[in-house]
Amino acid sequence: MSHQQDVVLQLDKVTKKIGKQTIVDQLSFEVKKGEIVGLLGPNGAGKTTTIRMIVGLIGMTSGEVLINGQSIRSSFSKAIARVGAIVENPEFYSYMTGWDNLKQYQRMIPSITVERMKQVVDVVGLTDAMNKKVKSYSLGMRQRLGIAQALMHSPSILILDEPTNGLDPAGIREMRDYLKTIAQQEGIAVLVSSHLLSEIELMCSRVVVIQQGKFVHEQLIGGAQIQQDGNEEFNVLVRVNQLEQAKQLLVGREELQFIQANELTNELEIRCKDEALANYIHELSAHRISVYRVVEVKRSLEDEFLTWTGGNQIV
Amino acid sequence: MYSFLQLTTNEWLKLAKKRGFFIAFLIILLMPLGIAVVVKSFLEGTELGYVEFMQSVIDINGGGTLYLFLCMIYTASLVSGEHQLGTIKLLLIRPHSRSKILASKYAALLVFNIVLLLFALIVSFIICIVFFGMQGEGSMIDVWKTVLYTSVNTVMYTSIVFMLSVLTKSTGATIGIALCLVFVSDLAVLLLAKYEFAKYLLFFNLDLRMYEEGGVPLMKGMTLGFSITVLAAYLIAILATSFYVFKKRDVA
Ligand SMILES: Nc1ncnc2c1ncn2[C@@H]1O[C@H](COP(=O)(O)OP(=O)(O)O)[C@@H](O)[C@H]1O
Ligand SMILES: [Mg+2]
Repeated sequence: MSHQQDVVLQLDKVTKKIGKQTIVDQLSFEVKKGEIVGLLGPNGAGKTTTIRMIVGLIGMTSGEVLINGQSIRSSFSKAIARVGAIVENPEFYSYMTGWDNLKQYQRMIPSITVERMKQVVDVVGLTDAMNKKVKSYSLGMRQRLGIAQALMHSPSILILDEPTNGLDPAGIREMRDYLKTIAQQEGIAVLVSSHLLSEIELMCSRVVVIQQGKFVHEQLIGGAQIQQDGNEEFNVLVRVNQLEQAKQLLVGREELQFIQANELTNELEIRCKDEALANYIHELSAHRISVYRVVEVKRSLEDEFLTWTGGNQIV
Repeated sequence: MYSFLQLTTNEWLKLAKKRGFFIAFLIILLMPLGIAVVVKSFLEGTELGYVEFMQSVIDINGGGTLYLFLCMIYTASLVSGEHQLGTIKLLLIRPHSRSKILASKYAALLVFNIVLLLFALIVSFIICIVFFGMQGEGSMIDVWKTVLYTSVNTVMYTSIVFMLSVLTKSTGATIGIALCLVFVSDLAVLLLAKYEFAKYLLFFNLDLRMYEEGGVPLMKGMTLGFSITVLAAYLIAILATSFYVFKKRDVA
């Protein structure tokens, strides 16, 4: 199945208990090739714990993580060979140069050539800093060295835990651009965690929201939303010349949900799916009601976020 | 095998690229140099044979103590250092088993022990020749025996350091506990010698020189074979504990 081939990372009911506390609870989601997926949740939601389980740094209490179909539990080496990751802050041997640090990881994977190393260093813009000791690097440079380290072996998935933490606005912007470029150039899947909605919104094509270790919601973002299959409900504003009549046509129709009417602007807000809207507009024409505008009402992701998380638990 | 060598190279470089790496070698150079200078200038006419000189530089009761401390201090951070720097997270997400990674660290520890010991031997030989000329009795066999005794002692202690480094995840705690153990060991031998069970204790078996001609075993009934068996049992237990904990550990 082509769908299965595209799935790079799959979490299946992943659970982590420490003592009596359940830190991650039956979490399931997938990341496909070419996607940048955001793992969003407030501080303490279990993002880092989830990422640690994905890369095998900590064990799972139950559940399974598959990377390209290989279990991180039972075929660790095969599974991890396809992963590049930074867990929390990127930490290096600060007394060594950037290049010596990268050489450490190159020696651990025979297929990495020096050309490849140079190419990756170039992508993250660190070519001039390679002979400097890492202790002289700024946080932004460390993040980039972290990305270089994670990309050297051409992984299928790049996993970054709060990659913009501690960066200044310029650094954050730079990181975002890098990630997008990399996802395109290398054609790989990316999983980024963050507690900031705004950041995920700018960077990701899909978001998985977790709270207190539990899956809360999953949603496509931005341009990606257009590619939906028409089965999603959305809100739409319809401006007509005869508001009351247009409203009457809604009565008794399950698939068209009345939200509100604005008599000043002659606008009607309804909630429905693609087909239902098309039928409704035919209906309006059939009754010779003029339609002046049809506009989708986009709730900001933030509004939606608050509804997913049931209130104000997030930034 | 090739990949194991690569991992060991990595571990060696992590030790060797540290800024103060040369200090251990400097100390090992200055020690015999100091002895030679003192003997030459204050004990006129004293003839030092190179066998005797080399032995004294590495003997457990002589310069070997310094050598032991250096080996312990330098390898104490092998595992704990990765935890303290946070680099353990990047190290363990590579396609190698944790056992293999830990084994490469242990290999680096052994390499360091060997390199520093060889350095001590070469340096003390050269210094002796320069200061006193090629003379004296005894053969290199005696030197190799001393190498063996010192190595057994050092490998046991540094293996304990290795285990402590895995268990405590703290270099400071590792060095602290390990140095305490070295000092306590003499005291333990003194205090516990009257008990029969004491011969099974690690400390009672560390110094194999007691089985030399003219030597006296610490307790009745102890033989070279007995001590080697006890040491092997301890070494296996120490390494088994280290590997078990390292493999099972949740790395936060
Ligand atoms: N080793 C641990 N022992 C006990 N609790 C832990 C441990 N690690 C994490 N936690 C708890 O699990 C929760 C999730 O932590 P974490 O995964 O770091 O969240 P996030 O990365 O989303 O901020 C927090 O409440 C944290 O206190
Ligand atoms: Mg976190």
